[in-house]
Amino acid sequence: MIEQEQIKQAQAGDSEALVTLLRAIETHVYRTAYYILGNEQDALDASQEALIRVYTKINTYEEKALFKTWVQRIVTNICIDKFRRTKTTVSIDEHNMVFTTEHNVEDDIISSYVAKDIQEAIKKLPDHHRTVVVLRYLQDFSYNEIAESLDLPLNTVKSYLFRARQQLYSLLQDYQKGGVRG
Amino acid sequence: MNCQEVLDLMQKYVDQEHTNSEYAEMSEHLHRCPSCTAIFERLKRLSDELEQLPKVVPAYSIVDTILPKLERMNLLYQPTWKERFMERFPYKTLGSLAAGIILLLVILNSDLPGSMNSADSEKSALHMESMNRDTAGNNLAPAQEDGSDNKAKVEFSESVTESPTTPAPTAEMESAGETTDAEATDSSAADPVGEAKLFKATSPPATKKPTPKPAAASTPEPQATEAGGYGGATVDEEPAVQEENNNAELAPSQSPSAVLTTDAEQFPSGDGAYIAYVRQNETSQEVVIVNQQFEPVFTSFAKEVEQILNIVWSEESKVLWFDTFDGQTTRHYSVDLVKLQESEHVR
Repeated sequence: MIEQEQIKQAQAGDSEALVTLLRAIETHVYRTAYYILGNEQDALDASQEALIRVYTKINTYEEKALFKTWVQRIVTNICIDKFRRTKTTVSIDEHNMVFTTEHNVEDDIISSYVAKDIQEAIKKLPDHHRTVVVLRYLQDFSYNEIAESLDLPLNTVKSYLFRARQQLYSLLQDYQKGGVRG
Repeated sequence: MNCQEVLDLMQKYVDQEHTNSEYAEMSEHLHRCPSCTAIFERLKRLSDELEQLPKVVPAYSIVDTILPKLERMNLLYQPTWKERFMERFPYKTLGSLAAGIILLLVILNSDLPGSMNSADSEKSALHMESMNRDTAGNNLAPAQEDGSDNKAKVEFSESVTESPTTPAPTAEMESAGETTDAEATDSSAADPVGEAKLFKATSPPATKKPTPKPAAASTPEPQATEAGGYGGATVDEEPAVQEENNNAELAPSQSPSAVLTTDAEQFPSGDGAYIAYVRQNETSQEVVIVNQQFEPVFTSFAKEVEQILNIVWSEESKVLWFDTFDGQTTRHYSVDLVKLQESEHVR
């Protein structure tokens, strides 16, 4: 947990406090970048960029927002920009209610998905859906914290998360049916 | 409640955003709706798997890799001197520090019997003995209630070191004990009252060998020579003050420490290791940094300017910042006390 006092010291120009702060958030920043960008090198690049931006913009942080959501907003923005420059996402029909259709009992025999499949499936999600999933599952953010980080209405966060899970489920079914284990 | 509404509750449930009543409604529905139960099981399984995603960590410290870049940028993002200054020295500290310095100046300029002087150490030792006898009788708060010289010094040491007032009597007792009986110091810290008694018992020998040990300044309890004159001054302060006083009397115009008796404003570093001040020459000014013994450590390049201002120490007392103003332009400088190097910074 990052102390508010430490943030104030950093904002007052204490560069040692600021570096300590960066060390405290480094792993969280990297983890988000890794799951949004899907590979280590891009994640390291984006994390560097995000940490430098935190360093230079620390004075623009206001206490009314949580520090962790402020940081995640910075890193997700950098990642989405970066991702858009380099890759295109496969569009999936967002309204396909996959949880409720076509799946019978034998789908459920397989007890767990392979983590690698899940990571592959996450990569295929549209930017915002993927980002919401990452904040929810890798940063343990609440709906409110996700909404604050991404500057989205609460209901949009809920619906992105709902749809993202539907898409993931659908993709994972495909992997298992096709035996695709990348 | 229909299946669509329950689907929404399921989402909230796996995200731990549900209320108790929502959970009850959902459970009730699931009991009688097998298809929703199947969906719920799938959703829960997927969510559990997502929770289990590896918590990846960077292979190396990203902060370490960007530190050199951040350090370069730091020059461009210096806080204002006011911010740095007020953070280091809140008003409270400034007030007591200023009071301490003024009182110290008063002491140094006066000829109080408590002033230490190597020429009449015997007299001082006798004085110390009598002072200690006074304080021994009132060991809870002796220093502040004795002579004005005593009080002044105690406040000064507090303001510099922020030590509590109570150790003062103990230090005195310890030092007295050391002068007369080295073994007495062992138990002194733990039991100031007992030590006071011990001191009373051993004080007569002090008058028989009144000359303080010459090496007292470097012993662990140097207050032996200090106690009588100044009350509870700190270990670090004592030899310096003594030297200063001697210098001031013997060769006031040549000694660098003579500055202490001038009006020059002093800027002690946070750790007390250095004091910076501005020396006014005929046509220029320079920043002089002295150590605890008031020996010059560094003198900045002379600046032909109207004013040197905004003298501030870094938190670790390793860098001194100052600005110069020539009537038009403000320039920013730093002195690295480790490299003994002066640099100008463009802001």
